[in-house]
Amino acid sequence: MDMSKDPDMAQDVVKTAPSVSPGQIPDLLKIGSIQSNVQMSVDTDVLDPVVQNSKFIRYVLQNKGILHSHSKLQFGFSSPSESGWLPLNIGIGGLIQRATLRIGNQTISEVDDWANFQHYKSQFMSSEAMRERLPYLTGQMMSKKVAYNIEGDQWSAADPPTAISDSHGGGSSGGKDGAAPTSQSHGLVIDSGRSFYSPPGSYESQAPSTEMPSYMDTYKSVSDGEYIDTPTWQIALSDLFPFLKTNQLPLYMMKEQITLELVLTDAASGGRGWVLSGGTASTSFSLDTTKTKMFADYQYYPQEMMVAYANANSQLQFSYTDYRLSKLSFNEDSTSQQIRNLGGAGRIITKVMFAWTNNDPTAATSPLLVWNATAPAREGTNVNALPPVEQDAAEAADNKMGSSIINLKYNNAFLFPIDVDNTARQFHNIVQAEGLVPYVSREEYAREGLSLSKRTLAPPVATGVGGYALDTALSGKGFWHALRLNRSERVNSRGLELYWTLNKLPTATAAYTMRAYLETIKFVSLKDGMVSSFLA
Amino acid sequence: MSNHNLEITPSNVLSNGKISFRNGNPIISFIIGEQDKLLIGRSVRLAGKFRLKMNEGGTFTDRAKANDLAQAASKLGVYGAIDQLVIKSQQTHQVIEHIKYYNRFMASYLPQSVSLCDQTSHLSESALVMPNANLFKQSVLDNPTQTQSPNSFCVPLSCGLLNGTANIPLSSSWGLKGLLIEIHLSPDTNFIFAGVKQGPNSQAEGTTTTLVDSFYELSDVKLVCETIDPTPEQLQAYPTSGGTFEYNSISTYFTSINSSNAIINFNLGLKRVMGVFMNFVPSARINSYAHDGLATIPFFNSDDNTNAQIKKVSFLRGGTKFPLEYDIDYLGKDGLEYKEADAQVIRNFINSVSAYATNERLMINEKNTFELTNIPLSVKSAFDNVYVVDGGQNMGVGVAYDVISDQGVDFSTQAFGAQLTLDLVSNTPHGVFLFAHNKQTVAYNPSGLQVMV
Repeated sequence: MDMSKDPDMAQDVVKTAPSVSPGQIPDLLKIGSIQSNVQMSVDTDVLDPVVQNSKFIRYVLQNKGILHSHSKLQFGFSSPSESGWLPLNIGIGGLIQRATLRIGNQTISEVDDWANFQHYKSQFMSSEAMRERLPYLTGQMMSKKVAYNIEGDQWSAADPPTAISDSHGGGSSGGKDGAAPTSQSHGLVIDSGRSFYSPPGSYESQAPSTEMPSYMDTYKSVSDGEYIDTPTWQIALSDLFPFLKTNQLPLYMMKEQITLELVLTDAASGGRGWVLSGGTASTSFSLDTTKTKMFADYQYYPQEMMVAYANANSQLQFSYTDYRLSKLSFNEDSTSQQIRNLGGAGRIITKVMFAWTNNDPTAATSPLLVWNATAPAREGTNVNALPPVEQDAAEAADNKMGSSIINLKYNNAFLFPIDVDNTARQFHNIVQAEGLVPYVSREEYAREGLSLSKRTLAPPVATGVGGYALDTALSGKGFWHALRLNRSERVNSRGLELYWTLNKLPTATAAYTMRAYLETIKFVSLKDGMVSSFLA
Repeated sequence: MSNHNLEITPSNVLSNGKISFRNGNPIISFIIGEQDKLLIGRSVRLAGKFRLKMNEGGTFTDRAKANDLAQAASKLGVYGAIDQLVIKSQQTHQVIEHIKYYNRFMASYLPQSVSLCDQTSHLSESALVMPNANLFKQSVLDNPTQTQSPNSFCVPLSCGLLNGTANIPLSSSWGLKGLLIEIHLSPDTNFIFAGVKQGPNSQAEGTTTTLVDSFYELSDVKLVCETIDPTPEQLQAYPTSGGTFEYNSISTYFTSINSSNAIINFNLGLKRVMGVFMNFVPSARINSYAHDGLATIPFFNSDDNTNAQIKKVSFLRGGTKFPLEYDIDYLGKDGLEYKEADAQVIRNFINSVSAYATNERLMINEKNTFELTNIPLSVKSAFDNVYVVDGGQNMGVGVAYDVISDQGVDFSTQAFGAQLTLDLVSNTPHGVFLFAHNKQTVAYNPSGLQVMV
């Protein structure tokens, strides 16, 4: 009999189980700490939300087994009025405005503006994952590759070439119609796994990767004969609540109700999906409520082991990280040094991540929508034009990159002895903070250099009309910062003070939003089935 | 225990903060002073700004001009500018690690530790690396804002000491007595070369006419790192009478070969050698604006531009075959069709840098280990490998001695040897840059320190 079906019996078994020495009991909650030869079973429940509307979803989990952190939440949209796709960088994450995990009346984890947070986290997904796995799972597609010329393509400022002719030359004897590519490059392009080119007569002309893969289109059309149902996408529980990447929840040891709540972004606000350039900016991406599911995986180990674990850990406590958001509006004309108190007073803060978001993009102007971290602008003449570009001395002296200068002060001392103004070093600070590298190119990060292709993404391929030039779409859109607070100190009552100078961000109609996430240390205590959570 | 971020400016920087080989600043020195702290080696970064100048006036490079095709090694980025890396004890000036031909070391090391995914993303930001010559020129050398806003870089100084996982004691009583890090810049002639014109008439090669005045310039250069402050209890635990510190090291050697039966012999003088690898370039192309001096290309005959295909490789220790007790015969040595580098040679080459079984990130593939006759024949450009995709040619030969015990093989009394049978039948001397990965120990006490190889 499954003890999870009868909570009283489960508690009785817990109380009467034979004693086992602590050394014999593996840590069932710590991912990776259980020997591979331990027998384990997984029971998957397909849960419907207990509350679901256009702005809010709530799930209630059963108090049984150990909740697997890779349990998934599924979402799907009703067919919009025209072709539309999920934001390339965060996919279905654009749906989630806030994610909250509650046990009883305690909030264990809550991330506000979760979609922006997911934008930061998604940078660490490798190009391989962004090409081979995530387009199907989450709707993300940010892998990059170099687009090589084929013979006949002409290098010019009017890239991509409008004519394919041998007379233009191409650079080598290779390239055309399946021959080896030449090393001439059109820059970095989004890699959907297919050739970026469709030479006349080539089979590739049927589906060049300039066209978004049809399986990612949320538009349902019987007439195209390909897809008559809209796709579904999934988010892992551990993505919603990052502490679950290293811990699992022993639901069978908890007496209180476990609730998962999601506040959603607006259906037509330009956060959930994008359409062709020139399309309807207010296109609504409304949830198909029949597709909203949670696949909850509950793990079970041999009963005696779970009982022994519960007995040995009747008072269980573990630490984890949670993220607090601090945000403000910011005008790009504020080019002098800004000092912003981010909070965190009296807490142990281990990391701060922050970025400035341009709120102008709509569903019909950017495939990233408003999920951007905007870098300072390039300024000058022909600074966005590909070579060959004549540049005289006056232009050379005038052209420049906008500057970004960062520092953080806490406990009366700066984190860096001198303010950091080198964007590559700012990038390095992310690596130091996370122990991982962001898979973001130089132009995507700080807008430096001209490496992104001017080719367009999205159909119709034949004309390129309606697509988005990749350089415009991606340049300077991944300018996140992360600072690791490495002095092992509790923040004093003055809190964290972020110093920055941006001179200056691109001109925007709406005010920018500056978001900072503070990584805090928290504790969960589980005593006799009752959970409490407190800050370290 | 708490950490601190340090930012160190060069001790020999000019007042304008600009550093270039051409203007008489070939060495950048950083002093991490002796202090009762531990240096996190993996946190050390060289940060700064990089730009290319066509002349002292700083004229902008222009792809449209046939004679203005300055190019540099795309797979190296700013690493191409570092010719030597020297790490000494600050107090005693005892050399702890010295990597000569650092850019050539990185030319083989980098493609064997990163993938295309890395080159198109974070390496472009940190090291200005690009997987394509034209893309590198377009985004870095031709960057239209570089006059006012040079290209930012922030790179780890990959070497045995700093790549190690152990923190480096800087104390004068229980450590290495501070560190003096010297970076010797590469001559402009070895870094910049004439590229190949893109677009119409793209077969045309750039000339060196305007390159003779070109040079690269670094500015705003700093060394950034993180140190650990030990607690008072930890400080007391460190033995002030002395101690030892073990680390990996890269030792470098150079020779040249010009024969169809090339014999490379070195007395390495090292006790714990983990692996050896080498790369090649025609000697005439070193320090030449006309050619890429940092190319890692296969052998070729300069008289008729044919490839000098390797046919057999043997590794020797003290005159006997070791660790492979057989010759590696190229698959195509007797045929006409097989032009790719031999799979076993490439496997051993990869293994010599990073254990093959666990190496998941590589830029070595079937496209850039071709013998030269497979490349579209455009005489010079082919051999300067700007036509080769995925970062250019990554040709090399190497062998690992120990990927299991991590103790290495003793070459202190036995000579290292390698024998290459190849079609090098013309008078085309090739430079051989050999790098030995070995373990070293430094012993220190209050009166000094000693490096034991």
